[in-house]
Amino acid sequence: MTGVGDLQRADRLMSTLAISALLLLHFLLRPRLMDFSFAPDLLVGGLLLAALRLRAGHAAALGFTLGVLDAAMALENLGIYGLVLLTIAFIAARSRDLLFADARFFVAIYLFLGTWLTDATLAFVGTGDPGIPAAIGSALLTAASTTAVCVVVDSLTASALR
Amino acid sequence: MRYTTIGGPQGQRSDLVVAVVFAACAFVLAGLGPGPTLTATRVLRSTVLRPFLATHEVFRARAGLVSRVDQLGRERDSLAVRAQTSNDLELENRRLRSMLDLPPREFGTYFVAELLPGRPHGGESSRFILNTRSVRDFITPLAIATPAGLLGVVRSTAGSTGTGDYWTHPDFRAAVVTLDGLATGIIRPFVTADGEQLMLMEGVPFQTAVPGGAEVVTSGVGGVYPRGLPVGRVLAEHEAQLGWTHSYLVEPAVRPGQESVVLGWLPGSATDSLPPPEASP
Repeated sequence: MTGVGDLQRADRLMSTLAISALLLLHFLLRPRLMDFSFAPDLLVGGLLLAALRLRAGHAAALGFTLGVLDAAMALENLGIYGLVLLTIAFIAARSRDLLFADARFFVAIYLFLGTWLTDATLAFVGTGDPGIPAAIGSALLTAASTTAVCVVVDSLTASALR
Repeated sequence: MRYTTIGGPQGQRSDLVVAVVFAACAFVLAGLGPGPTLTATRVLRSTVLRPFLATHEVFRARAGLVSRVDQLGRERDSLAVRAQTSNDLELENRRLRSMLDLPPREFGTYFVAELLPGRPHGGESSRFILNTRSVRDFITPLAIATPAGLLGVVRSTAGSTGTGDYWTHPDFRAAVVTLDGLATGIIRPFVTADGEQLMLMEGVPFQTAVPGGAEVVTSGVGGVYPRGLPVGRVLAEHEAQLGWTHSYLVEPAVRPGQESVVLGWLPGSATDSLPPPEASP
């Protein structure tokens, strides 16, 4: 017989594995993914999914760490990347109660807006300087693909528990 | 419910404190100078990120292996021809300088280095990291080139690693001259209305007209870039004419992003333009 505690532990384990896989894939495939404007941003997707399950302080710490690591890989400013991902993760963790409880549709909107906002901000503050329309357009494509991938991952972890 | 609120008001306050502490760390990191930033980046890349970067290197090496072999064959053939020509030129130069009683010319030396381009979230990066085993604690700014021409400049170093800017960086400037030596100017990056990344040669004297297709090379003024390094070819005169000078759009000889092995240039003592001591009156 499965209790509520067991279910929560299993959910935590599955979610941790799925999010870790997304983050590992991001760092492994980063050069390939950056070649395509429509490629999913697995780093931001993984961070947003983690922020759904973490306390805001822990989400901020995770965001900072991932931002600094990603900046070191991208040769960008460590502090700025850390600050952007920290802010997004903190707001994401705080906003989940305002937006939804457990509805898949709202998770998709949350992922889309979060990824779009993060990628557009990183494009503006980075040295790449793609221009405002290009940055917004590219971030929209990235947000759409990230949402699709992360909703599938989230659904798979949920269905694995049933 | 899978996504639930964790912690009461007390927990939320502590969350805010944690976030503020990390934000302060982020501000400190953002305000670091180029040297400490490079050191931090290097530490992260050689520890936590090392397995990922090694994997990237394997992917890149396998992907470009066939085309790289072809390219190396072509480069070897053209280098053999150039080496033969340069031998004759060097002998002639040495003989002429001895006839004029000038000291031997200091060309400076090149060293081979590995270049790792940056990959930001938006657009193309204008930054790179340079690794070399040949030279330690080199002095910046340091010119970076490929056999095809000028690529960028190293701005800061730590040990045998440096960070630098491609010529596409907004702060990049280099003194240039046309191959015939008639027109001089300063080159800088320029983005056209279509978003194409070109170069702009500014400060060309008004009475000097540069025809389309003219080759532009570094003039060596300033001592950062060696004289005669290919920069690009003139496309057309730029629309805006400021004061009494022309400006010309230049198609770059080298576009950033594809090179993984480059040449760094260490200037020699710039004494070739000075008369020898015994020749002075």
